[in-house]
Amino acid sequence: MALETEARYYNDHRSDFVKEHDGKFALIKGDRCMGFYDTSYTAYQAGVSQFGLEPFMIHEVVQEEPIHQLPAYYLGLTHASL
Amino acid sequence: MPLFEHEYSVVTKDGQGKRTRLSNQASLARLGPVLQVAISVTPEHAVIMAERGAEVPSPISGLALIDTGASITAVDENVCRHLNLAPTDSILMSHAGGQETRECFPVQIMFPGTPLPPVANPRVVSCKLDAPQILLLGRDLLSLMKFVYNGPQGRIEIAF
Repeated sequence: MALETEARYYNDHRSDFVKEHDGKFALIKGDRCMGFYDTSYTAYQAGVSQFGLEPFMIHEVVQEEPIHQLPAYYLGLTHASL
Repeated sequence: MPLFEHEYSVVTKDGQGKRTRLSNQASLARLGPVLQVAISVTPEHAVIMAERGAEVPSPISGLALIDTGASITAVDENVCRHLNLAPTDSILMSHAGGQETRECFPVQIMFPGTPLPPVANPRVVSCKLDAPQILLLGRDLLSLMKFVYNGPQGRIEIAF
């Protein structure tokens, strides 16, 4: 999985980030946080302007990681016909 | 606010090859709220490639299903591969067997043949969808839109 370094860095610093930047989007490259942004898109634009097409991570700073749902996909219902 | 309205009409064939047109109501019930989309790299990505003199990958066309059960928009992994995208995040997904981590990618979603503006989203989760479906449009993007599912008239309306 790509972005392992970034994910580890985020997890190591999550509690500090939440204290100061809850609800923002962190831009992380390697083991450095490059800034916090109001939206994921502004974080993305900043990332592209700094790193071009190199991988970087944009992660929402939240106390508890959200667990996303795609029930139709996981249940194989995206092509269901009634 | 640009508005897209669409009435669904499905033609089926029976065992003898006789064609029958379903009502708008039955057509929408059968297909679900799908619409044509084209997925491309983001404008920022395209600018960088153009500056390098590299060829920008052509958009991939297919169908999007509006999926109010999806908490996040999902794109077919083959599209991400074709566009040669680098991941921007990894997120936790829940399923019947537990949880898994999946990668997110930055894409631009266009709605050809409609007045709807393109939407660039830097965090769309990748998963394996079946052609011609290439996108599940989830609540993260629906939060930007007004969406009406008019079952009796077999019609949808989207505005944003």
